[in-house]
Amino acid sequence: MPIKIILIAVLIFIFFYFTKFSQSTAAKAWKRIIFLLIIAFGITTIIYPSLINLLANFLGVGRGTDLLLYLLFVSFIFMTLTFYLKINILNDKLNKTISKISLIEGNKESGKKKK
Amino acid sequence: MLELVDSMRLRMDFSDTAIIIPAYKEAGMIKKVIDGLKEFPHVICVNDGSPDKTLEEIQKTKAIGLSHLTNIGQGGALETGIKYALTLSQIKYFVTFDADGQHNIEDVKNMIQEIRRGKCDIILGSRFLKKTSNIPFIKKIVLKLAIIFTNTYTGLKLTDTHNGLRVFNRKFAEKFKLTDFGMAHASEILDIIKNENFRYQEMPVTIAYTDYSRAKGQSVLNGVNILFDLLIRRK
Repeated sequence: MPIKIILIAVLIFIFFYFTKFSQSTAAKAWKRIIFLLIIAFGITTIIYPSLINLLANFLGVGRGTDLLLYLLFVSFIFMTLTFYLKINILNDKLNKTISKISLIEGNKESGKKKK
Repeated sequence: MLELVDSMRLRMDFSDTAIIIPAYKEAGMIKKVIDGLKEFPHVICVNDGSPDKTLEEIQKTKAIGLSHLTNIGQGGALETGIKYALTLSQIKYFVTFDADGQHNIEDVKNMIQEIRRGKCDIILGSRFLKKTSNIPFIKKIVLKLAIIFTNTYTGLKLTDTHNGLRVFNRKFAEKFKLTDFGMAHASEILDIIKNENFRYQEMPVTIAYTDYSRAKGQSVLNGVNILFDLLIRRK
């Protein structure tokens, strides 16, 4: 069933994506493109709900709802990893700043003492 | 006779050495620990955002007190302290020393003696070269596991990969840069040794596992955290 291949490929892609490319400009651009595609897909499915059933059957999935569930699952993993990474990056920036501040204060102190 | 006295005096002259102490919630012990470093004029103590009176206690001592706005991790405190010490041009040797009184100043003196011979860039303390430390049993197991894992990954052959007592020269200090300020900093330091090909050596040290350090020290659960950190970071 084609859906199995697609899902496995997507998961493997997610793994490599987060370990290598996630911070590149290309990644940012693609995320925006996919976002637009999702909006378009969503609007289309709302107007023609039977389309998703057709798509599901084409991919070897029982119902359209099931396909939506798979998509939701993949999106959830993607989102969670994105936020996890983002938080780590922000944390690192914050820590570096805190360290630098203490060095600046320390230098000021010793400058005062020397005088 | 005079040469003997002179060389003994030189050996006790530690004006070229900076001791860096990362301190988090050590208001009870830190003054005692710093006061115990009598022969060392340069002590840099970094308060890592302690919620208690650690900073006030540091300021009562001879140490240079640096302070982080919030807790960023022991690795971060070390990096701050080392960066500061590097600005003092007379410092040739750097010591990382724990704030809880577990480390022994005699060990530090021996390690400095050794590094002055110029045969290595960094000396790492080891609890397992000599059977002197009384390590709690479960902690020993978790530690040994971490050591095996770290050795396998870094390719170094150490008997103690997570010892806070280290002595290194300026060459190493200049390359001291961490990406992880948390508990994985210990293995990141080993990464630096490996990647920059620094000459390293281990020396036996005694860690005092007193009731105080046992109570506040790393529990078994924290050992689990360390192992986990090692695994996740490797990705």
